[in-house]
Amino acid sequence: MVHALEIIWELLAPDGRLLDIHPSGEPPQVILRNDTERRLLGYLQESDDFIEYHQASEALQAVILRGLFQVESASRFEFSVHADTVPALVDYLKKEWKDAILVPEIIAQAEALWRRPGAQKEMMISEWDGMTLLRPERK
Amino acid sequence: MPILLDPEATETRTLLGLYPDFNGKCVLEIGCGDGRLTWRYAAEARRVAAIDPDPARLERALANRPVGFDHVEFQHANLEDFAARMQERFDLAILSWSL
Repeated sequence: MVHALEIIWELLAPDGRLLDIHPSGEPPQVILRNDTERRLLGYLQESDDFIEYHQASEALQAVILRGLFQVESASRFEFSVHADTVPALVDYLKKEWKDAILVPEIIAQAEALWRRPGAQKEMMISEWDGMTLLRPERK
Repeated sequence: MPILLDPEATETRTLLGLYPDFNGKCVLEIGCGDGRLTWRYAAEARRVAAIDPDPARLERALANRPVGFDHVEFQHANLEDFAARMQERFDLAILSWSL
């Protein structure tokens, strides 16, 4: 990861910028939402326990400490995935988020709530991500 | 609506909050995937080089190219190989969930 940041430093124009986007590493929330409420069903896990996101943060810190980059600004945002059925969410995770683990208890809870009569429902995954704008240092 | 990603566009708003002016900029996006984020910022850029090691996702990006985005070039490459043959310098590099 540090090597990738060194390569990017070389590829940037003198007044260029690096913008890094990566998940915070906090387990994403699994939510059932209807017109009136968001009900937290539990948390998504990843097979590697989110370690690569923490490693990404550490790599950024390492190049900042070495004086390759300086943080210009940073922010956090909520990234959400919306599915119109429980199976659609399970299928999406299987295909696109391969290291995600949605435990059977959460799926069962979601399906039970889904069967209740009431307003239109959707499944949501809500993840907090970080975005950092960095300026390359040229000494 | 089987699946929607970031329908509130919070990612795009955060990006434009940190880097508001893409006008005339030469952008490198690393880990562009299917172009989901690319299409949201690329309109104003002068040129975008978008790289990803996954050919299936790049195929989806190319299939979804909007009209008027011919200045976006997708390449099947990892960062190291791309850098080895690239002389150009970029105004902005975006690590799109790929560090």
